[in-house]
Amino acid sequence: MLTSPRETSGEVTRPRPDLVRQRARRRTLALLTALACLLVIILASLALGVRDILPTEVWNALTAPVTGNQDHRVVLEQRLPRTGVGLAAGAALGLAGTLVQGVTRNPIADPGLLGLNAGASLAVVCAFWLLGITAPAGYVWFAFLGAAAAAALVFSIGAGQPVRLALVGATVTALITPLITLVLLRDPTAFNLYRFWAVGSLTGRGLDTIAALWPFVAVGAVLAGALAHRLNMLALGDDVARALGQRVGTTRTLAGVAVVLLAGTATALAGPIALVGLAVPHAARRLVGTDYRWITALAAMLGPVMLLGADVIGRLVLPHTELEAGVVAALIGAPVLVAVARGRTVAGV
Amino acid sequence: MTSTVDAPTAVGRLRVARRRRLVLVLATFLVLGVALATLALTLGAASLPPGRALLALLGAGDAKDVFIVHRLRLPRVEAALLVGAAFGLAGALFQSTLRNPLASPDILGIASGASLGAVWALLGLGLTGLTVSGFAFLGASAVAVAIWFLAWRRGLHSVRFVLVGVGLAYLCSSVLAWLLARADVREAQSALLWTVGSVSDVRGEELGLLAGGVAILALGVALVSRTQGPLALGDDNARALGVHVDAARVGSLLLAVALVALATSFAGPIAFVALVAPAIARRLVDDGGAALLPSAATGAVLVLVSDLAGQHALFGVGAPVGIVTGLVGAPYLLWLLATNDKRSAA
Amino acid sequence: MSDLALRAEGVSLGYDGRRVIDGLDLVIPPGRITAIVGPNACGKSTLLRGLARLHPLEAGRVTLGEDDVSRMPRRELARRVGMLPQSSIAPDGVRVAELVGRGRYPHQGWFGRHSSDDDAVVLAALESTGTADLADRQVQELSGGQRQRVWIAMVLAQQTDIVLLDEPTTFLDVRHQLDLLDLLTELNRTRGTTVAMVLHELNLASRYADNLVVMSAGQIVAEGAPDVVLTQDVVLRAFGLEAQVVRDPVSGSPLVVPVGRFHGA
Repeated sequence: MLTSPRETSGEVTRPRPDLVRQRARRRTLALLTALACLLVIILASLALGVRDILPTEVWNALTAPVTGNQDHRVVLEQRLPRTGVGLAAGAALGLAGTLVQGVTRNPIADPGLLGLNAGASLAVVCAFWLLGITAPAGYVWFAFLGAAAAAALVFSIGAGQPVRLALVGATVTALITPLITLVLLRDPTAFNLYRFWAVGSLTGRGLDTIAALWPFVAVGAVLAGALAHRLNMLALGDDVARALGQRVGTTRTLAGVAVVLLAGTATALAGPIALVGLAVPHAARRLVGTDYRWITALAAMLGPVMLLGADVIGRLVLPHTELEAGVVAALIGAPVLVAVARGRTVAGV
Repeated sequence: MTSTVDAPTAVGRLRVARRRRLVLVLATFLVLGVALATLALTLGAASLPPGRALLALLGAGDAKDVFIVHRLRLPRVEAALLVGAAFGLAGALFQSTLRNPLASPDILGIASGASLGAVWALLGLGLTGLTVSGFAFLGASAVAVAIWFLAWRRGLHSVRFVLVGVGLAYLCSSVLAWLLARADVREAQSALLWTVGSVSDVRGEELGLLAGGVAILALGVALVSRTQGPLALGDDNARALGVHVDAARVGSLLLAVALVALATSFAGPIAFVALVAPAIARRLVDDGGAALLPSAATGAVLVLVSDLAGQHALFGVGAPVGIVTGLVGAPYLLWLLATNDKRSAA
Repeated sequence: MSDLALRAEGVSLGYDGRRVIDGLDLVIPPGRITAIVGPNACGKSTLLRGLARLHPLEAGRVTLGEDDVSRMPRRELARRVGMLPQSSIAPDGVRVAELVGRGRYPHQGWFGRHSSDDDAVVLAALESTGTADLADRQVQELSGGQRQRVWIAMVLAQQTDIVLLDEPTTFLDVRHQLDLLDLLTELNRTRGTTVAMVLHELNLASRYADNLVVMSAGQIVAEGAPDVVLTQDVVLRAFGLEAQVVRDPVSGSPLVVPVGRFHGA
């Protein structure tokens, strides 16, 4: 499903400049539309909520904040960090999902399925339970390390066998989940903290946390961009990629590092968010075709669109309370995935 | 016509050898099951020597012993065996019908559906008792029906089925996390038990329902079991051999879903049994078949031994069985994946 | 031995509303070897699948003697017509005897118990395909040629009078291709089994078939004895290929020698 024989053969045997140009135009259009959506959603995320704030007032808050102005305080202290978390975590999840699916050639692979969320969760639970750490700025590092450890375990056992990787990931998740539950059953305090983290939310993280973590996303994003071309070749199979002069092992390792950086940070920032990493690459593929350079670029924008969009929707649907971004993202993502599953013809998982 | 007493041909010898191996595996599990059950009856707050426990099992002996064995310990053993057999059988059906070793109610979201149903009944509606089991059943069935309708497009394609199932699993666990975050912390914590699975509270009427249901469904499985061999060769080959592929697959999956829904509605989604038991059973029997009966036996023993370990050996007292099965099953599968090069799992 | 012909009458077949074959008539003569050849995507595999009821007919009917195949109970059809689809993959861990034994499915009762009759049939199928020594081996461990023989043994164990095969020689080297076709010929000669197969290799089809069906774009271009059918004109019309047709020095059947761009006139 990653390569469309119809498309490649059309390009190779009979180059049709008009068709090629038309496709390029369509891709550029998709990219620009995504960018526009992203800007709109960022603005909405700053302006909308329990207290609706006019866009001009948002602008004032950002450029010339007045101390004591309640609107400005809400924008700067609550909505700005929240939007930053959504941007960083969303982009990271979109990119990580793209990398994982590209490397494993497995359409159901996502960072969660590879055990990263479970690893992060276990580490966070331990931070709550053993160390009594409750501040996000403290436990994000545990989430990050937990995700990295789980990923290292999964990659070391499943390395070189893309299909098996998903199975190992599911197994590691199944190994970790009971440990988490065991702690949660024993320690009500840890459970109380954990349940708010586990639901997946963008709130409560300060700008300092984002400042500490965004470099990881940046490095991961650069890696993802650099790997996109290699993924195109890998999509044709390991042997073809090798025959085209690629070191497949290196690609896998670098992709693994990038996934850990990206998904680890996302989970650290926003908790275990399901389905964004799974649905975004599929949606991107639908819009721009099979070229991973375009998919990667688009996924980096659609990720935050989906996560921030979910967050904004979650603020608006219920009258007096908010629905967490993680829940809304799953509610949006599941239909996307179902649509993808129904659209595809036959392909191996 | 050759009669059955004729000298066995070479092929017949091989078949007899395979059958002998199957019988050996089943007999081993039977012995293991009986031994573990006896152990389970003797262990506990008031420890009974095996002799007294067996006497009490027959209804004789000290009235207090009879009470302990019949009211407290036997139901739990029976529940563990029944639930384990149901999960093992369902997993084997899922995996052979969908031709995917990953296909299990854990991955497909059917187990999460049961958890969600039960937790919603407890936390959202404030219900208790048997109605919670009913909601778990509804949750599992609802997810299965949803996968069904969403994945059905001119036939039931197995990749589509798995993909949709994974999506629904994520959806259910997200909503579950949200329900847990909303509720009162103590209620939420007790509802947590429904996300791991436990056989400690299945007794009396519930046990009867469970046993009856499993028996009826097992009979159904026996009827579809012969289509599993041809189905494993692929749709075209199965059709060419005269199997109604869609009907056989629908029938097998319906039975598997019903088994899972039944077991989870009483015991919760006991992790990993449906995934691991068939993998173990297939390796033990090693004839390339679906290994339905051995999977059921493996599942039953696995749950019983896990429940015993959870009660008496691990983490002090009273870890729910679902935690132990995950902790035991997952490393086993990891070991399998790490040591096994080409065969089985992938 | 059967004298019933498998017959397609006005058959239309397609995928997702796209017609591949439209109103085609064909007779598979009993007791003969029929080979269906044609360029890629001409609908030859689809036709074979339609004949075996693996693909639903959009119009027309397939009959076996007097009986309409689509109304026959599937198991009865499976006792009369065997079919080996293209590139079948054996399940993990299955052994040769077990795989071949699954060919007995249409002959078994409710709970699928093997009888010693079944064993005898399986053994015969293994022996006639030269795979009896492999009976206890795992199918995955075998070479491509052995594996294909095992699959054929499975179809033989089905004990049908008619055997359909979709490109049975794919992935086999020249020697194994010949072995396999010799085996099918032997079956045809000794038991009178009707064989119909899709073949890629024109010259092998020409040599082994009693009845050659040449297809192109969902239509039958020519049909009959290879001697009559395989002409320069037919090859050009069906494959768009310039070729000379000479006589095979071994079998005397027509031998297609393609011209190409760089050789000959």
